[in-house]
Amino acid sequence: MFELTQQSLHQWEALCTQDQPPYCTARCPLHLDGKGLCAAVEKGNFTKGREIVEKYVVLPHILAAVCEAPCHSKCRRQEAGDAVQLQLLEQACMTYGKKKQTGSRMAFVRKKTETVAVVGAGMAGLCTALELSVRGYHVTLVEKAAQPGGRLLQVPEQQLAAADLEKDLKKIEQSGIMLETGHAVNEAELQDLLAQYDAVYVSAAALEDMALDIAIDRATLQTDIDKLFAGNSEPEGSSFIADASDGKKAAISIDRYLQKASLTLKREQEGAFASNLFTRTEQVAPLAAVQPQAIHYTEAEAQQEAERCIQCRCTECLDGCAFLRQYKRYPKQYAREVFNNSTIVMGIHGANGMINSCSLCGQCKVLCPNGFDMGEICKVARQDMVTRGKMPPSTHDFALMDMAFSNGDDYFLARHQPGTAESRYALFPGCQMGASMPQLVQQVYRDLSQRLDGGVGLILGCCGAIADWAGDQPLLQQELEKIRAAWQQLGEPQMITLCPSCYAAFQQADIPAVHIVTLLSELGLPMQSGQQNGVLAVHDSCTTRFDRSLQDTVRALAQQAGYTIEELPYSREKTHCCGYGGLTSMVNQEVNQATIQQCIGQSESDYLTYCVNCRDQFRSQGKTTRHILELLYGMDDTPVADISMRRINRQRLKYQMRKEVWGDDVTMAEPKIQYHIADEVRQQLHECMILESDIIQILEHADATKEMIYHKERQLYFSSLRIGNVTFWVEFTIQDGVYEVLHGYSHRMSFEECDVNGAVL
Amino acid sequence: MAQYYESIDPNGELICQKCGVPFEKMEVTLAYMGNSFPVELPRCPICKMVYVPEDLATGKILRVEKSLEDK
Ligand code: SF4
Ligand code: SF4
Ligand code: SF4
Ligand SMILES: [Zn+2]
Repeated sequence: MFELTQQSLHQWEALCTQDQPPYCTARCPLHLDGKGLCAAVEKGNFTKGREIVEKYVVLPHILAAVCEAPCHSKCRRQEAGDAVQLQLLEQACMTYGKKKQTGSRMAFVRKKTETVAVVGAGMAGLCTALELSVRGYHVTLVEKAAQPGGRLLQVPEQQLAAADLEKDLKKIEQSGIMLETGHAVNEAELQDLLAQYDAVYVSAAALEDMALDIAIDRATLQTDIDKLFAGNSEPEGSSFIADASDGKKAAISIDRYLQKASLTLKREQEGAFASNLFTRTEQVAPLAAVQPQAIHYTEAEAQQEAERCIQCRCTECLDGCAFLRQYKRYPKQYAREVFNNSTIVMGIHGANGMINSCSLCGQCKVLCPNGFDMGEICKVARQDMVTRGKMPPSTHDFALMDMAFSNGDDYFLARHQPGTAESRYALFPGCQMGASMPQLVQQVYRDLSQRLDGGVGLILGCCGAIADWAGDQPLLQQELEKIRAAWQQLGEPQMITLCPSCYAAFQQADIPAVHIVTLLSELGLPMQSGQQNGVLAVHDSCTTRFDRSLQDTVRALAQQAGYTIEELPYSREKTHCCGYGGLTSMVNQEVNQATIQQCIGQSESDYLTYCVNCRDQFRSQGKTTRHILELLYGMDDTPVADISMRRINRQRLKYQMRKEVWGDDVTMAEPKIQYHIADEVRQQLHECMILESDIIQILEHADATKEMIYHKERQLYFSSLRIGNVTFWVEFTIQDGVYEVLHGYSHRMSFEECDVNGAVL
Repeated sequence: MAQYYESIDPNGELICQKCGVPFEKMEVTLAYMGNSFPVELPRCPICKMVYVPEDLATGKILRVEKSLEDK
C-alpha cells in the first residue's frame, strides 16, 4: 500500500521505469543518446545529431568510424526488423552536421592547478587525457611511438579515413595538452612522474611494456600505488569502445581523487548496464535496416534509417488513461507531486486538482508492467486530505449531498416483500439506477418478486461508494453501517445489486451480494426480452475488472437475447473507467470529457454496459449505449436524466413503490408556488449544478418573505438563499403569479454577521 | 477610508421589494474558510439585504474561493 512517507514514495517511484534510458543508451558504455540522435536525424537535423555525438564522445570522428556498436545487440527495433544502425548514423552526423563554432564543454570549466600525466596515447589514453583536459586539468600525454593513436593507426583507411583521425588528434593540441612522443616510460621514470604530477594514468598497453606488477581496482581503475591509475582492458583483442569507456572511467576517478571526493559513490550506472525500460513492439510494423549504397549513408539514407527508430519509451499506462495524459507528465513525477502536495505546510497545494481528478479505477495497475497504481496513490492522498481537513470543501460537496439525499428520507427504504415477513433476497438498485431509470427498477422488482421464492425485500439507498471516492473513510463506514443495519433488519438476505460498484462494495463489506445478471442467468431471461439482433460492443465496468464470470455472464445473456458481441481493445481487466468513478465527472470536466471520448472512440458499434453510470456517461456524449437490463426487460430508450431529474426520480421511485407495491397512503409534497423553467434554462442550471429543488426553495422563501430585489432596467427580480454551504441566486420574472426562472448562479462565500438571507444580525 | 476588495454601486437600479427603498452602496464582509474580505456592495439600507452580481460571484469570488481552498 502507498503511504505518504519518503520511503514508500521511493518504493513507488522505483516501480515506474519510464525515465530509464532506452536500451541502446544503456548498453552504450558512453551512454550516447541514440534515441535523441535518431529524432534529430529523422528531421534532417544533422547538426543537432553531431552535437549529441560530441556531447558523449571526446573523439567523435574516430569513434563514429571504429566503434564496435554494442548498442546494436540491444536495440528494440530488432523485434520488428533489424536493429537501428546507430554507428552509421553517428558517422553521418559527423559528416553532414556543422561543427559547433564556440563553447565546447571546456569553455565553461575553470582551469585547475593540478597536473596529470597520461602514459600511452592509444584510444584509452587519448580519452583519459581529453576528458581530464575538459575538466580543467593540466595534462601531459606521453607516447612511446612517434605519433599518437596506437592501434587506431592500423585501422584501414576505408574504415577510418586519415583525415578523420587527423581532425580528432588535433584536439590534443587544441585543448592545451602537452604531448611527448617517442618517449617510452620505464618503471624508474614512472616513479619520477608520480613524484612530479598530482596523478598519473598508465594505459594497459604501456603498463605491459613496463612489466609492472600492480593490483587494479576494476570499478575505479585505482591501483595499489598512491596517485597511480591504470588501464584495465586487454591490449590485444579489446574493443575501441571499451578503451574509450575505460579512459572516461579513469578520468572520472582521477578527477574525484584530486577533488578529494569518494571514488566509489554512485557509479553503478557508469558504463554499460541493462535498462528496465518497458517498450512494447507488438504493434510496430517490421522494417529492415537501410543499407548504404556506398560505404556511408547519404543524408536521405540516414534520415530513412533514423525513422526506423521507434523512440523507445513506456506509454503503457498513458495510452490507457486520459487522466494520466491530461497533466503531460508520468506517474513517477505524479507520485512525487502528490507527496509534495501532502507535505507542504504553507502555500498553495497545486496538486489538489490532479489528485481529485483520477477515477481510482486501477486500470494503470493492470497496464503497467510493474503494477504502478496511480489510483491507490490518489486515494491515499484524498484520505489524507480529508483527515487533515485539507480537502477543498467544494470538491465533493455536490456528490456527498447527493449521497446524503439517497440515504435520507427522500429515498432510503428497507422493507420485506408485501405479505411476507421474511426476505431471502433484497433488491438493492443503488442510488444511480434509481436516479436514472426508476421504471426499470420497478420492472425488475416486479419480475423478481414474482419469480423468486422466499421473499424479495427492497432496500433503497447508496452503498457509500461516493464517500469512498471522496476519501472520507469515516463517512463510508457510517453509510455502510446504515445499509448493514437495513440488511440485518430484513434478516440478512442476499443482496441483488443492479450496479457493479454496489456489488463490489458489498463484497468488500462481507455482505452477501449477487449482481443481477448472474441471478438472471440462473433464473432465465425475463418474459419481456424479445428476440433482438445487432452488434453490441461490451464496455466492462472498472469496479469489477477482475470478475471474469460476471463479464462472461453479461456477454452470454446479450447473446441469448440475440445480439452479437464485439470486444473492445480495452476490455475486461484492462477496461477504462467511464469517468464516473472516483467522482471525476463531478470534479474535472476536461478529464471527464477526454475519458468519455476515449471510451466511446474505441468502436463505431453501439455499446452495451452493465453499469448505469457508464451508460449515462456515454449517452451524454451522444453514443448509443444500452444497459443490459434495458435489453433484457425490453425497455424503450430513455434519455439521460439531468441532476434535478435524478433526485426527482429517486423521490418518485420511493413514492410509487410505497404506493403501488405496499399500498401506503402517501402523497408527494407539491411546491407552494407555481413556477416554470424553460429547457435552455434547465441546461444552464444543470451545468452550474443548481437543482430544481434549490430553485423551488429560493422561490418559496422569496414568495413568503418578499425578500426580492427588483432590477429596474432589466425588469426582473433576484432572490438568494443559503442552502448548505452555498448561496444560490436566481433571476426571475413573475407573470400572473407564476415564477418564470431565467437564470441561476451561486457562490460559497458568506456574508459575515449576516443571517442566511444576508441580513445583518 | 477602508480598502475594499471590490466596490459596486447600484446606481439606483435596484429596489428592495420588502422595504420599497432603493439599494445603496454599503459595506459588507465576505467570508470564506476563516478569511474575510470587506467589500462595498448594493444593500437595502433598511433590511440590509445584499446583492451579489453574477459577474462577481463567478469571477473574483470564485477565484478567491478556489485559492483559499488550495491553501
Ligand atoms: S506503465 Fe506508466 S507507471 Fe508503469 S513504467 Fe510505464 S510509464 Fe511508468
Ligand atoms: S529503437 Fe531507437 S531508442 Fe530504441 S533501442 Fe533502438 S535506437 Fe535506441
Ligand atoms: S483514472 Fe484509473 S487508470 Fe487513470 S490514473 Fe486513475 S486509477 Fe489509474
Ligand atoms: Zn429591505
